[in-house]
Amino acid sequence: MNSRMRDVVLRLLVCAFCWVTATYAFIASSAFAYLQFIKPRVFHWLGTFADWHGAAAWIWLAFLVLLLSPHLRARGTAAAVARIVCAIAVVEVSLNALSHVVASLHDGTRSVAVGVASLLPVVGIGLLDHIRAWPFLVRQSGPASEEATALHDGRLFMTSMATALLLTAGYGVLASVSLIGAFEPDLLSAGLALGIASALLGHFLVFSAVFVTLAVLARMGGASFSRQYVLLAVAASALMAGLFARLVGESVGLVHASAAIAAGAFGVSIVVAWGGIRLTRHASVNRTLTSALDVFFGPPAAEQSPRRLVVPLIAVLPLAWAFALVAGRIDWDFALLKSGVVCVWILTFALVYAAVPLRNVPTIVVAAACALPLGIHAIWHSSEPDQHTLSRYAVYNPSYLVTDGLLRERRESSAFDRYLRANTGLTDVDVKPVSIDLVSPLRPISTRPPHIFLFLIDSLRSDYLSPYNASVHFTPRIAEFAASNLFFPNAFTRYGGTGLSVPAIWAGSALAHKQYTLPFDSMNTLQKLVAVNGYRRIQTHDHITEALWSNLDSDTVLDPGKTEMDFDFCGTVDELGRLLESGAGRDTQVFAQTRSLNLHVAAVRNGYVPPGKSYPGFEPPYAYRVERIDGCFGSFIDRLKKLDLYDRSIVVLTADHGELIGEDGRWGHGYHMFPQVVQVPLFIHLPKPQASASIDGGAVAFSTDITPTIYAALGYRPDVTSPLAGRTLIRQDSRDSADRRRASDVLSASYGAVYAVVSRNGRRLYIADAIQEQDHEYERMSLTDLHWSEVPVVPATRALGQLRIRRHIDTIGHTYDLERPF
Amino acid sequence: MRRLVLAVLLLGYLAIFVRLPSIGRGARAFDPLDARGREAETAIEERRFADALPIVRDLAGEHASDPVVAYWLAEVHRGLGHPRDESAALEHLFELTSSADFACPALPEAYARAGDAEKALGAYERCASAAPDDAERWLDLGAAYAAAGRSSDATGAYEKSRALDGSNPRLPPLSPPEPAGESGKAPR
Repeated sequence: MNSRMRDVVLRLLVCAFCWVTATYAFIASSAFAYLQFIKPRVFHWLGTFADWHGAAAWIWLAFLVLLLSPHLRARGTAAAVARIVCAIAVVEVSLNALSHVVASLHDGTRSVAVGVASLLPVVGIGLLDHIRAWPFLVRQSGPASEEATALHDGRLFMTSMATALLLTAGYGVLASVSLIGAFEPDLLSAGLALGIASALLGHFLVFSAVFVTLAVLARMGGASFSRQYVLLAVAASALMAGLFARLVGESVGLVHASAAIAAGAFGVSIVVAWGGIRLTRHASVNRTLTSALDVFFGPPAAEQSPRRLVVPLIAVLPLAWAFALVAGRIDWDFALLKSGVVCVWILTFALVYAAVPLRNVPTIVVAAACALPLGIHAIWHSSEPDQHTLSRYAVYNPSYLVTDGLLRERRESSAFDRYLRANTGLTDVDVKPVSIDLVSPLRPISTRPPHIFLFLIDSLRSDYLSPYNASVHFTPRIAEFAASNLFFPNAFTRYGGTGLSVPAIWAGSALAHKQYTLPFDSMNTLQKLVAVNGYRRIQTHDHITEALWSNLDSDTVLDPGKTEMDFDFCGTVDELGRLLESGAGRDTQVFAQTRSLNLHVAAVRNGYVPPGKSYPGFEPPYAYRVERIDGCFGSFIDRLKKLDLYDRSIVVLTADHGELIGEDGRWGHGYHMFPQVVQVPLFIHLPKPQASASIDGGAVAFSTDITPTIYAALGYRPDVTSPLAGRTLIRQDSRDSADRRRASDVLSASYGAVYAVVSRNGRRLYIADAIQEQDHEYERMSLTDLHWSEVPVVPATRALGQLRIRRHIDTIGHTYDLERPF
Repeated sequence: MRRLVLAVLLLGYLAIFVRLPSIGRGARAFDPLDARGREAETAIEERRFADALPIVRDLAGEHASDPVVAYWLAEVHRGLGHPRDESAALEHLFELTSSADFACPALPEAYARAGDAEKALGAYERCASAAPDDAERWLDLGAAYAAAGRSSDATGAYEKSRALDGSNPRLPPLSPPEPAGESGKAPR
């Protein structure tokens, strides 16, 4: 390996380590990503990375010193920068080793600061390269005349137009191939043609904008090459920062100033490092550059050669396909897919730019070609059916998905979005706990209380259970349970993610949007009920239980020693069954609960389905796991009956939230509030004396109603005066029933500023997404209708939906005595 | 020439790719989060309806076509016990939204509180017509017909409600009564 190659490899290793560390830190700073992925160690490799970071950093430091060693011994500015970079690196690595900085990162601004600090060496190395190559840079001269500028414009124009055409063709082929075998009645010949035309328009708009911006920047730089370069570097940094914020930041719920800082630092580090590497290379062979853009993409070709354009066309297809394939397996909210598209765009642009020589293009042609897409965009308003067709096409054409996202008209009232963001995810706000009392004073009941079994299946969707969906034939035991117990076909979670959904179930109330308000004891109404009635607690200890329940030492722990990602429903209920068989419920009433993660997206995406099992119309790995849970649940009920405990027990089977299982390429839940995420299954078995309790099963029910219902099943009359509190689902009179069916209830995501309003007794869902700055409305025809249709959001729905959401947030603000940001 | 062309094109592209304040089609004239909107909303949330009334009246004069203002006005009149003014505000809201989602069943209930049974019945009918797939609206209409002694109309409205959602316990029983134990009901 020659010294140049060694230098490049070392540089890539050093920079890659910094970028990975920064990405990890920025992701950890988001409450959503930290609580959803990092803390519960959803992906083991992510935890391993953090655990080993301290040790790996020493190796990285050695590489860095090796990389910079030629400069450390020299004199001058470059040597000084090299020494500063080394000093920063030594301090960072030492602090990391002493305080386990990276391993202990959590949500909040500290993680952003760590991320920015970890990018300093990359920026330092880039600056060092720039200092060394500066004499080369100032030797270059920009276009000295209007003719020379026009030649550069011509090259840029041809590159932009060709890139737009190539990307439309490449992704068009990819979309057509992906559509083979898919049932998409909207995407037959006319629909496909509309999609391709829209993609072409989108690509022309994007790359015309690129051309115009670069041409204007080149003129602003004038004949000074170095000024041109600085302007270009600043613009490129801003562009990279914007892309990072939109593609990665929004996907993981990075908002507020920290999102801007993280994006800015990332953008600057990429451009400085990229520019430094390219400048060093150009300087080493003493190339003649014609414009600052040549620093990044290379000097012009000597002559036009159409054959050279074939290379990018061939390169685009497999690369685009590979990104789509990888994103299809491990993506989150299209972050990887969209980032891949941007990489393909840049690579295609670079390849075409290198293949195109300097040439003159008449101004009239430039003006017409760039104004035409603008004009079409301004006057073309697609009809509602066309919008539906295009939304389907976006599922198959990721490049169109990105252009559509960039061009889509944002919702008009951004003050409301700012209000939502400011009042959501109160990571850095000190929220004092309040006392939530469903019954006051709470005294033990006079008779022996029933046993309570609360089974939360993380991410269990109701439409994968036969009581909710007649097409399901793999959940016979749950169907049997539903037929003889209380079954709520119209149930929703209050929060679209575990982080707030589970605490809200325990509190029996909507909560301040903070994970977590501590100490939680005064708000944990379920714990109060269990304590005052002398229950023996048997439960799994996940990170939320450990944070929010007290006296954990006195618990009988299910699944001891396992990480929560390994909590398997079958194993847990089998262990619980054995405890009951050994007499656990004989003398003392038992309160048992678990949150099983069999269906978590991380488990399902790597899913196994035994040979011979098939689930037509369903996602097989998910359906297989549901079937397995069904069997284990049935076996546990059999055990309760055999032990003569069933008629003396309350059994609740539900989910903390639903899940997206590949609908339109989306997986997981996060901060989405789509119908598949907010609908949950809910079944309740009551002890024999309560089994005939009156209910309105068709009325909308919420996860926060579970604990009040358990109170009611024990004979209490829960207080329902607080608008945030849940209400009992049993012993409802006709007024309660009417109130439920007529109300508009507000739901929210756990990890981001996305809210929803459920109205028309669970048939309408208005979603206000302040992260994507969009809103949606869905409706279904009846309670048994599994299909929700997206309908246009009319201004009145938006205005009054926003009012309801604002009132809900204000009520929480008053309840928790929060100072309003507005 | 080319400089001018590029400058104009740049402005055009900035307008579609960069979100500038006040650029956007159909921007609302009234933002409920502005100072007066917050003042009105706070007074309503704190049930200080007498304080809210002059603010909301002013807003209604300035932003007659804003559904939030119409909604506030109805709430304030309800809070102050002015059913006639409330029904007028709700009529306006009904007209603005062309939907039963926001004005119903408050509108017929306001007429009923004002003692105008005929207008209440008419409003129930309009609510049901505006939301023909909403079982609650037909149930309310059935109850209103029954109260007015129009039993055959009541039966028709109840039937429509039952066809849309038979699980509502407020529905009068069929003859013979529904068998127990259907979806959502506890077995007996």
